[in-house]
Amino acid sequence: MTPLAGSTRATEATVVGGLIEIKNFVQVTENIAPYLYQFALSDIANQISAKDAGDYGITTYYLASDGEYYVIDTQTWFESFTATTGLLSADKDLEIDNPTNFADNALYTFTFSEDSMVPLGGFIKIDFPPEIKFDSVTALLAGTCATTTCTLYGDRSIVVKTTAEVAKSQQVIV
Amino acid sequence: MITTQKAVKDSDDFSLEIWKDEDMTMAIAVLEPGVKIYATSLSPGFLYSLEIYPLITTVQVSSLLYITFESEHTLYQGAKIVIRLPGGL
Repeated sequence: MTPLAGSTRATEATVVGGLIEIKNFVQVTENIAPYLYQFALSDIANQISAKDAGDYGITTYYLASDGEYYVIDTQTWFESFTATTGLLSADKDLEIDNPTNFADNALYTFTFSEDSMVPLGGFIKIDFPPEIKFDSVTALLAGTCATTTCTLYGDRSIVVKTTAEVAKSQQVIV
Repeated sequence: MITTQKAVKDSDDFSLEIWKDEDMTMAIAVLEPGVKIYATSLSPGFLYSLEIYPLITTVQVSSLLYITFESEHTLYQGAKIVIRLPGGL
């Protein structure tokens, strides 16, 4: 059972899988359509990524004298809400093994932690400032990109595909 | 005004009787049982202004989830609401 916040007509809900069931509504004395229902459920986790959480549906039921529930009103809606992204925080300053101007083959090391879990097969995208030049043939031949799947996007971005789940707050070194 | 039933449910049987006299002491005919409004002839009403949104909007965070809607019809004592959450939650 989950407490219902903000409801004066029901006190708790049952959450089973993706279904929430709210029973034992208290009859109000005044009924003037439309009837507004507002409540809040606690501890519902947002979606994994900043994407609409998807469609959802609500159905109301009448408790008949035979003890069975029968549908009164029902509606589904094709979208719900889009979560916002979490934050990344740098654990160290960016490291460069060859800091000389115009150096070739400089190895960049990014060390950061993240607010959120990154699933297996997720992607880490790094955009480089325009002053840094990429060679599309040799840019991905060292470091993490030598042992995992990296893709060069244009001449400014590298995308690394994760080969294991990265837990929340786990340090990542690219 | 005559309303339909409160939910999508078979009604109880109608009763129809024909009498010869005003005092209804001499019956002529009665309707056979089983005449009713079937649930299959009814449609559920609508819900409006559906909204579902979290207190904290960041991905993967658990918080209060607010749900609001307006219903076309009254919820009576003992009523039930079932909400199918978005698949992403």
